[in-house]
Amino acid sequence: MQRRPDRTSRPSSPPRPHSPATLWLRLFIGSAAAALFIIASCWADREFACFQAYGVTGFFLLITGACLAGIVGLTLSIGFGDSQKLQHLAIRYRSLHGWIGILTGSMLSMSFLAGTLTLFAAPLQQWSQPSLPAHSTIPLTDIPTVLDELLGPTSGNTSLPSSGLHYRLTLKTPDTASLSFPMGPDLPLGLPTPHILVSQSGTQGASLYRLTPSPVPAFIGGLHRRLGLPLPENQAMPFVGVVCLLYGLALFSGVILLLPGMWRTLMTVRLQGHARRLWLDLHSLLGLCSLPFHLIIALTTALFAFSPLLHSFSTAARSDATLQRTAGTTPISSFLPPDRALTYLHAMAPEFHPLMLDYVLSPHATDSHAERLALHAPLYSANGEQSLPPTEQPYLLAEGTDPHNPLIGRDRGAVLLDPKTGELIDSQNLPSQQTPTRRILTWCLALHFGSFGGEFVRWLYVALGLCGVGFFHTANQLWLNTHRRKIPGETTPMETPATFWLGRLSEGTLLGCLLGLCSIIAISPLLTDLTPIAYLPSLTPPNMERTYQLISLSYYGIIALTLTSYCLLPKQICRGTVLALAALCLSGAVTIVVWRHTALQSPLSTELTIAFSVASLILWMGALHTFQLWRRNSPVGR
Amino acid sequence: MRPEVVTEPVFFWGGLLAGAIWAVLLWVQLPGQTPRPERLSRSAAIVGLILSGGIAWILWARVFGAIPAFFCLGGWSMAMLCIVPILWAILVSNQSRTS
Repeated sequence: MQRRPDRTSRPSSPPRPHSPATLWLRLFIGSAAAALFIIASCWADREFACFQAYGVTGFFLLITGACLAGIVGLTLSIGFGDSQKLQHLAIRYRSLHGWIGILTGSMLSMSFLAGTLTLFAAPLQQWSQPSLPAHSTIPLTDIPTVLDELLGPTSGNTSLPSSGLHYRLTLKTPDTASLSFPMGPDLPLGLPTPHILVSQSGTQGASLYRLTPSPVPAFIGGLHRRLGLPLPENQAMPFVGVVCLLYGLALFSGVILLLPGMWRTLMTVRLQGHARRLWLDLHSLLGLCSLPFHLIIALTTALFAFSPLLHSFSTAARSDATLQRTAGTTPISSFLPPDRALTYLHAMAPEFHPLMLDYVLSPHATDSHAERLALHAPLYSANGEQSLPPTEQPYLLAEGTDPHNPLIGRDRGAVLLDPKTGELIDSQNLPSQQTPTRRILTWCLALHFGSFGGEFVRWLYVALGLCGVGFFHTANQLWLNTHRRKIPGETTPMETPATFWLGRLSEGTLLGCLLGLCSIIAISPLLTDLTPIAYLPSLTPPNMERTYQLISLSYYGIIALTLTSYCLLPKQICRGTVLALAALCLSGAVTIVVWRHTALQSPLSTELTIAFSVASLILWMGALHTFQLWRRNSPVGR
Repeated sequence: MRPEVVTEPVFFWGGLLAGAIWAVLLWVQLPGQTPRPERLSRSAAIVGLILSGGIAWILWARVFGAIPAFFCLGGWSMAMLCIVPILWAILVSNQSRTS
């Protein structure tokens, strides 16, 4: 039986995208709502005692919640209105999704590429360093004797101040460690400070070496946090926060765009046919299959970007930890021996595996916003503004891992002890001893850093990070393919000025970033140095800031050169040359490190050597393939 | 990698294999161009999914802890679902070109 048309029902309006003015207005309303959520979270933390009880942890969780609400609010403000069908709703997001993609895609892909390398910040540092001297591993029971020999009144180092001294034990086995003296302030993920390394041989006594580390891992970390922008961290962070909110909006709107029809072909990758269809298939596949990963990255990065700006407005400016004050300087001999400190730690948290013990005597440097800026360290600290005890209080910082719990740092958790008595000062970052609130925050951060599940998750995050780079690159290619002008009767669409320049800029920045990263990895082993020295106090530390600036100049110079060549030369020649140069840099780095015999010092160094060798091989193959394609497409051999 | 692999190698590699089976079973059930075997019914696939996912989680819970094992399985399946369809498309494309 034929159904009669229902004359009373209103005919559905044809799907129409928003006009630019409406889109801007809705974007403005959504942004205002997002800002309001974030301000409201600060206000709630300031006004309500129930939030204040959780201190800085509660503040960070509130900001994370506000960022999530902000992203949802932004998404709703664009799609809000009468929508009878999902297709109609999707049309409202299409152009905005595309524009956010093309405007932020290159920055995010550079950040993801640098982030993949930042996962190996500590192994890269170790990999770059020259071979450590023989006998640099000292039994823990001998450490107090060695310290007495070096710093005691009979050693001849009488000019060395007993206050302000900092010594570090890096545990090699449960019973042995290497002893070093950092020559300046040292913040996690910040500019590293040179160390004085102690080597102890039975017959000759202690000999000293100055180890200058490479600033390359810190630079790559900064690049990752600033989305590759050549700006100081405090200026880049508000922009990064806004980009993250837009990135979240693009993710949600992408899911809405995917729902009406593309779901049917979700797992299809059509290699033959139109290029646009291939980019769309790849973009949809990578985006939807790694959506939870991208959401957590967008949310936590918004937290990292906004919280240092908002921290002063909150009452949570104090630390969670109740830091005790014990004024006065303390002689080293009265400090807890390292073997006893480890026994205390084992009794306190059996699953915690300490990797490093930092004995810091008073008065010591404090952790402040200015110090973080000066050392190019992340402005966000999970402990708030006061992550260290007051300057007059000595402390023992134990850092380590826990295979069964998430870690709040990139690859380690930490606990603060009194160096004289072994009493606990702060255990909020000790993985197995956290409060439920702190544990939730730790999980949020661990899901960003990949600091759980050990080395397996580190390599998993490499795969997901590289998929992320592919996701943003396919987004750019899709936008370019959509906006090329189609000419009736022609199979290939024509470039418009916008697609021509944006295409070259997007590929140029990504490959320029790749070449820049490979070249600074190549010079990283050359920036480290191990020099024998005679005395402890007579040293002036090398200028690490100057080296950092030199690396920065090299990296941005390479990006500028790549972009210039992309603007002047044919695309395939640029692509092939950049890939070949990147492969050459990585091969050179591996050769230097293998020649210096540091490549096999530890399992992690071996892994990195193999990974860089494989990466350089892939880059060589990519370069060769690009040149072959170019020769095939231009028979005259242009 | 060594702490978890050295201390619990059987559980780690077993979990990795079970997790891979879980991801592949999920992939063949999702819409699009997948090698959907005719003899694999929907209910059998769902039972397989539950079993392989459960086994992977139990094995990895011993290595990484209960909650980290859940996220490890999630990350592993995300990476597999991103990479396997691309490899499958290349394989199918090469086969159709040679035949």
